Amino acid sequence: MDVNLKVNGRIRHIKTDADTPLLWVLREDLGLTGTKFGCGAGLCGACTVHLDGQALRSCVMPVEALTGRSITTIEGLSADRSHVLQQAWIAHQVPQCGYCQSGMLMAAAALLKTTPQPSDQQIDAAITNLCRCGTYPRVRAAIHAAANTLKNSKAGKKAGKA
Amino acid sequence: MKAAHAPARRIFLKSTLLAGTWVLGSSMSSPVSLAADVTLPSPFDFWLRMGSDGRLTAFTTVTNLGQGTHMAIAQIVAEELDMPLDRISIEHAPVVKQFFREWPPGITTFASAGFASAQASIAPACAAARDMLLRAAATAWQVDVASCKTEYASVVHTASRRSVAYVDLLERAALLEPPEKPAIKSPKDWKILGQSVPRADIPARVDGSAVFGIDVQIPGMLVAAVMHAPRFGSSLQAVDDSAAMAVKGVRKVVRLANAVAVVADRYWIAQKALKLLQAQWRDGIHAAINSDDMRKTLLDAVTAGQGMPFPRPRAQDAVATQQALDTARLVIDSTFDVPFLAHAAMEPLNATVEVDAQGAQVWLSTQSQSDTQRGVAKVLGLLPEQVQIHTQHAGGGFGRRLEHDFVLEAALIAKAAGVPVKTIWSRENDMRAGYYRPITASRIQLALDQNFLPMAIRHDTAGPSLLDYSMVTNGQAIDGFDWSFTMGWLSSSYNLPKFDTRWTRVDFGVPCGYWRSVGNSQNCFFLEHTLEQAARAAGMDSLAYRRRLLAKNPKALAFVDALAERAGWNTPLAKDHYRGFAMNGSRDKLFSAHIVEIAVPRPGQFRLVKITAGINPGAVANPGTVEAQMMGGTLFGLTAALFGEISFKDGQVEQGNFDTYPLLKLAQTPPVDVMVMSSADRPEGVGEEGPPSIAPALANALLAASGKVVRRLPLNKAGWELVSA
Repeated sequence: MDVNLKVNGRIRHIKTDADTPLLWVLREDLGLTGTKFGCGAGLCGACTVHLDGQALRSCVMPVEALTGRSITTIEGLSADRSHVLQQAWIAHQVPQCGYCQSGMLMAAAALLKTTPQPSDQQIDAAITNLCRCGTYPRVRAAIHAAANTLKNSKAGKKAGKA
Repeated sequence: MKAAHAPARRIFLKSTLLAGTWVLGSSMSSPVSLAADVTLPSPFDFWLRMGSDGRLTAFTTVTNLGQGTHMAIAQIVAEELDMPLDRISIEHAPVVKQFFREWPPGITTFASAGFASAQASIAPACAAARDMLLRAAATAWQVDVASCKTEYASVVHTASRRSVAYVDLLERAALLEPPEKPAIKSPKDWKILGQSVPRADIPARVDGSAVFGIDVQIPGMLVAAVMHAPRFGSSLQAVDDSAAMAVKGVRKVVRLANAVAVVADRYWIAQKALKLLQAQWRDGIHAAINSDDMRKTLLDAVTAGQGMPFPRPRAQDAVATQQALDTARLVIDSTFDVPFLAHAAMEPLNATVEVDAQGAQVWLSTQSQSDTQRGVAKVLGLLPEQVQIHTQHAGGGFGRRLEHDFVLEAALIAKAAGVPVKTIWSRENDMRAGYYRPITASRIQLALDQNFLPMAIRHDTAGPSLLDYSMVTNGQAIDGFDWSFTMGWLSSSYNLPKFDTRWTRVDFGVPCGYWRSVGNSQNCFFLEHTLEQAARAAGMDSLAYRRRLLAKNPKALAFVDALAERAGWNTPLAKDHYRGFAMNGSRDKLFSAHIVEIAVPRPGQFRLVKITAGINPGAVANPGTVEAQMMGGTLFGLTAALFGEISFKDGQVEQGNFDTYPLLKLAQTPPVDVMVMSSADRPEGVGEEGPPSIAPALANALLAASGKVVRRLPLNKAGWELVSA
């Protein structure tokens, strides 16, 4: 079938089987390989992208359900690694092998959209992605650091206005 | 993984100038002769190239698996050559014989040997290069070389305030004779080494741009999905592929000895068509294995105690051990068992192969380039030189990417397809394909003297041998005895007494392999949970008891004391809270340990409160990456201790994906504090120090809480349930 998707701000036309998971359309049809295959069952989160701003496990989402919807992948999180989380990830040297980190970052970015100052419990609930290298403590620290950066930049802006 | 190390050798260097580029190679193996027209000095395990752009590229045989070793190598180069890090690139050496090492064998990344082995050749090579640059400048200026120094990629003559950039010295320096014994810097003079320098490869891992094996794109490439025989040792008898071949986009069905593959335009198409195959399999002799039966077989074997003695007389004293057991004040007699474990790296195994008239090209993430090259050549009827290996970023290895079973399969599929094919294993393929940490049972009889100190240890152990299956070139069994069953015992930092070690080889037909920390992963649990019982029998504090066993090892004592201080070992615990300690030391060279604090709200339930991990591996190149390795290894071991198990029913692996083989999640991860100590000693490996002592530290805390010995892992099979706050 023909599918029209908005991916990272661009309209893309794809011819594919209706039941193809979004993950494989992104990776094989659109060449966006930053989104990873880990389990194929929505269990590990390596394939996490944003669908209309919300975290989505793309390996179990048939593409036919997504016509006209807006998708953001790790490649679209920022053009230049400038997203507050990417900066925090570099500062905290979070990745080891890095394979799960695209999904980890997308899950964290979705969390900060709805919960700019997440508690540990909110991070626990939102970040259910699996990491075999064991980066979780640095993931948690980097999310808190990014949240702090957001808070300070807002405070700075307010102070500037006053 | 601490197998036999090659003895320390002198280093051999060869310098040459190739089209304006200075090439300096180092070899630990043997003297080399370099013909003027040879572009690859041979046999070199390390190779520096400084071009006219002033950039220095260092080629290493250590694979970047995400462990940070390439950054540490860059730090060595920067330190020894007084160069800024941003002018240094680290690249994988080409997979050609000229780079094959003696240890680790060929081009292989394992045994936590990456940094230590690389440093042994890189630091002297860089020190030699610096020496040659100094001499080149001093000669040009006609000054004493001792009056010159290097800084920021330049040679400086302080007295005359003259300075010349390295890049302007290449042609002179390259023609000088390398020094025989280049002086490397002492750790006390380090400025760049020893610092937590950010890894240069991290940015590409936060924006999706790092190319892993699974991301490789080759023009004209097809994709394959695979169905494996449902049982180890089964073979393909027949397959009806008519329905699969009718699927649009399917190009070929490839029959292999123990698998069927569908080659298609897209992975999802191949996966869908795979489900339409009707395959019949012929079972092998182990088709009926069950985990309960396997456990019983192993437990019976260690109870019978008829295993083969360890054939190294210095480490084996059956007579003295029996005497000690007969005369001991007390014998701690415990039997334990641990299951098969899968590596479950996040990137499922995959390889992209193109076979043509000239040979084959392989793009993949691997820890085992030279063995893979040889294996692919053999299966395709080629010479190793005809197989080009293109190493990609690896989404975890942990020992599984030491094996190349999946690459051989991918090579045969690509050959049959006649076009480049990327073969991607599903998570279930990956989980069920073996090379597991061996299932093991051990009975420990620890004889204690009047002071409750160890007199002798009888260790009866049973399990399959990874050396029977692993495809890695490594030390063979010692007169038939798989040395991995002795890991952690014979090189312990503790002052352990006489041993009588016996191993019963039991083969279940399940491929076993190297799993991060190898034999240490189970033996540290067996040893430390036994010592904890001895401490309790002596009525002593866990640490006070172990300090007695470390009395002759002042470095180990200092390490343990520092960790105890860090974890607040002597501070009062809250109600229902308990602590456990365990250590995985290697003589007086390398120490790692864990202190775990738990809460036990109800019998049979525990909560993880805090983990304090410590490591002292000698000299530390990059404390930040050592911390990351120790933290990650701790959680790798914790996953195994809590719920790691590959089990069998009617010959089939029961687990397939992360629902049945769960990994620790962020929400389950307690605070982990890592103490990184260092010394001026020769660096030891760090990547495999995380897993061993976490399980026994936790088991010892549970013993403190309940008085019950943990007889088996994982803990959810031993009557313990992890609960959250």
